[in-house]
Amino acid sequence: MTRAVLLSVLFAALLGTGLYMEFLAMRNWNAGEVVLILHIVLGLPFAALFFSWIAGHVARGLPKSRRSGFTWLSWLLLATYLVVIVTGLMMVLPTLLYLGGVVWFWRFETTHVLTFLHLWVALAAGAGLVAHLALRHWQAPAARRTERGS
Amino acid sequence: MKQQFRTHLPLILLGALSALIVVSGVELLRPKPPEPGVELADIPFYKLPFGPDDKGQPRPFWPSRIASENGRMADPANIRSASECASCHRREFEEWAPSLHAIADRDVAYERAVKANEALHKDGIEKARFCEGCHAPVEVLSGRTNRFRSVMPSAAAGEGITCVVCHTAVHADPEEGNGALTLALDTSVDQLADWLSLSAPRDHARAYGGAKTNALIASGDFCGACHTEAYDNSMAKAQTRQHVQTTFAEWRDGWYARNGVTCQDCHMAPDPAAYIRQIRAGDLRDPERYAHNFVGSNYLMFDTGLGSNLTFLRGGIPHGLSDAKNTELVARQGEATRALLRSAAGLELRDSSRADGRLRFSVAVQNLGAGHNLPTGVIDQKYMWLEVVVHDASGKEIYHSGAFDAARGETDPNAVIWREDFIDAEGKRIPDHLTFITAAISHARHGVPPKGEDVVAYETPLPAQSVGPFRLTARLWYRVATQEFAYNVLKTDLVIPPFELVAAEFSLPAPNETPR
Repeated sequence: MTRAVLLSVLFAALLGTGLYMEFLAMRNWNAGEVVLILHIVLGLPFAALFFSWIAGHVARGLPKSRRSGFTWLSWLLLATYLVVIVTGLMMVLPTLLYLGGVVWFWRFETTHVLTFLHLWVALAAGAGLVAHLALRHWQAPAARRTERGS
Repeated sequence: MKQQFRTHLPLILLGALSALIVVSGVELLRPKPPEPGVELADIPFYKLPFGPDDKGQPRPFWPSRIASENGRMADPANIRSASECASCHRREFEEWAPSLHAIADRDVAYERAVKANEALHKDGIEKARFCEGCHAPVEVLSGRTNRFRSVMPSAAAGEGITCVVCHTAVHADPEEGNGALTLALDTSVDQLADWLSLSAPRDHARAYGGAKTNALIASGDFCGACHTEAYDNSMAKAQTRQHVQTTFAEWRDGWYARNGVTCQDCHMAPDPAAYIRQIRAGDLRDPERYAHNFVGSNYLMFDTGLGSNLTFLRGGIPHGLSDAKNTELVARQGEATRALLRSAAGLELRDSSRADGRLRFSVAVQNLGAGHNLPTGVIDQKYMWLEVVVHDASGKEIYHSGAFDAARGETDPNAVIWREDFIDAEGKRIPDHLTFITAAISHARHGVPPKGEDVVAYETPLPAQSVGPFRLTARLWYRVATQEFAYNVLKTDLVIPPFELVAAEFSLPAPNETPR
């Protein structure tokens, strides 16, 4: 539970800093530079934490998911998280290599695709996370089902 | 409400709020950088000898038409050197480093020509902004083209047409020319450290080559801002606008522009000669990528046979390259330059006859591969001529026009020559590129237009004993400077070697013609 809570806090902070960088940072890259560093510094532990937690969460949660809609939404959410994390790691890879003494970077067109996916899939993941947390995953009691059916 | 939602919602809000606080905090603590550049008034002893413009505004870069985007002088401390760009863009740097663009401000021929012109006028150094606007835009925009050099030098200032010159351009006027470029040399520089740029490459690119810049530098208009040059009374003795370099207009009005083949397509193709052959074969597809070599026609600056003289002529070795690497890159570009030159021209025999003891023939000089006139540029120095030699059946030479004296470096004064002449106020030809005293431009012969030809007619008496068939050897030569320039301006007795663009042999009269 602690890791899940931490992931939620980090996700929100990453979404906020990411939106700032996409839409506002060009006004003042003096500030944008700090926010970018923060985004990377938070993003890397987020990725590590997510990968250490997700397998157990799926193993525990899948048997409890009694609604096929919820199950599909959850798989979709997992896919969006993976896209966001993998594209983020791909974007930070040239920086990590540079700090290790190797100069290498993606083709410019590739960076456009990565940034596009990272941003817009993150927004989808945010909406998916709220739905995942709010929606019921257990079956409604039989009486209520019958009530709705009539 | 689901328990997980109750637990996580406040934490999600906490995360978002924390981000908001951090973002607001850094916005407040790290305010926007100040307006880039330096006020003109803050440059000590900066001379403005040419007065204000029509609106009464100072013209700090006049007579060059170059301008800064925000109207301020560039701060040399904020202008990135190509060697810095090379830390990530090594391939592009090594393509650019041997190019004429890289040494535009350094090569000794240019430097000496500027000095010779500066000496012609009391405000000669300031007048040389005309030259430096294209050859050393960073120098001009940072205020170093001034009798009193009160601005600190920067690595970029000595790099001629360096990376940021093109990659921060926001406007170009190819009709006006004379360096009519507007650059945002240090207004576009992003604030990210290199290692962070790698994580936000779009912002790095947005800073250096936003959509506007990228579209501009891919166009012929951009090249035209410098490859259109005219002299007037702002910097010369000309009373009306004298067109000196019309390369842009030659391209714009020709087959290549009509068919969408740009300057960049040929001069930035990885193998320009191969690309020319592709175009000549009718395949107009773009090159697979755009290299930064800017291969041109100056074979002399790539003649590694000159040894250390070449390093001297090129003004040394660019910052960021070893001697060996420089030599390797220069040699490679030399091959590309020579191949490009050999792809440009063709010769055809058009007509020949014998009558009344005279031999008459015509040779068509064809521009097969250049998207502009042949030759082009400022062609008072760069010139082309046709050499024709006729031998009779016994091998005896009966006619020779256009010989080159390799010992004295002189071209036959009666040769058919494609050259423009600078004329001074007294009507005399100026052979050594003294532009500031040029009053008019005339042409010995205009350059051959793209896909066009210039037919040259010859006639010679036949010696009484000569017997046909006659053999005509034609050679089209190109030379990058006159010997007067070498003697008077370069102060050297180095003979400027010519380059053979194309050669052909023909039988006279042509086999399908009947002697008259």
